[in-house]
Amino acid sequence: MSEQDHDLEERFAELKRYDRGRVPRYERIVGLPRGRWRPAPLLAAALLAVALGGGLILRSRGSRSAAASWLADWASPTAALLQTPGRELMTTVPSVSESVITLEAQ
Amino acid sequence: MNTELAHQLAASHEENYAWALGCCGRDAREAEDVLQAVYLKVLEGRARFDGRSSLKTWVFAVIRRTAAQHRRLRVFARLRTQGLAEVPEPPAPTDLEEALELRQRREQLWRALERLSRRQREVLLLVFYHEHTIEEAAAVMGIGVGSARTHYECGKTRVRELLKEAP
Repeated sequence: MSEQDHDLEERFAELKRYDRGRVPRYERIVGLPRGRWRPAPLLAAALLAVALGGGLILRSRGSRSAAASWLADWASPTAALLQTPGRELMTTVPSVSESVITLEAQ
Repeated sequence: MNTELAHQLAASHEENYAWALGCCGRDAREAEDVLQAVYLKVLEGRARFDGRSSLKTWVFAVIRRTAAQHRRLRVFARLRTQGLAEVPEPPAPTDLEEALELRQRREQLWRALERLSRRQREVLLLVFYHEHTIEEAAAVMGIGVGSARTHYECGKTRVRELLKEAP
């Protein structure tokens, strides 16, 4: 070990000496109330929260898609009034070459 | 409950506590909780020693894993507000100046260790504090010896730099 390692060793030894006087007794650790830290109920609560959250998200997505399809299918009750005679003249652009043939056909 | 195992745990309790303290960022209350969980796991047979390493190495590995689990659940655990741990009072300093200097050196060391990666910190604690070999440290950490040696060398270099920079 180098001299620099000895300096580190000394620092860790100081930390160890400090800690040595502060170790709680073994019996006290084993006898701590068990409820202080119980990961199983905490995990169960976390999983339940995730499941509930996931369920809510899926549910809201389902209702959103139903609303979207209802909106897409919606038609105005007065749409029929827009079906006027000759409306195709207003909605199409005839081309010059096509017009003669179309007229002859008609 | 296995009384022989309980006896061995009690014999190595000081070392186990120090390692738990190191794994829990020197938080005494958390270290006690982790150590209690480890002792109960071992004594109730939920963690079984298979004899592939020394008992001490195996217990250290269980402490390390349990501390990691505890860290992940810390957010939930903090919601619980049951009684505080009884941390023993520090002994009265005979020489205040010396005690303050020692405290500063300890804090400098821990602050430097905290700035390392988890593996670098663990390997330095295992080697310098717990006097493990690199091979034993690797077994506790569940990594290869080569990897442990790399973490050890990089950690040492970094911690020396940080201690030099320390006020």
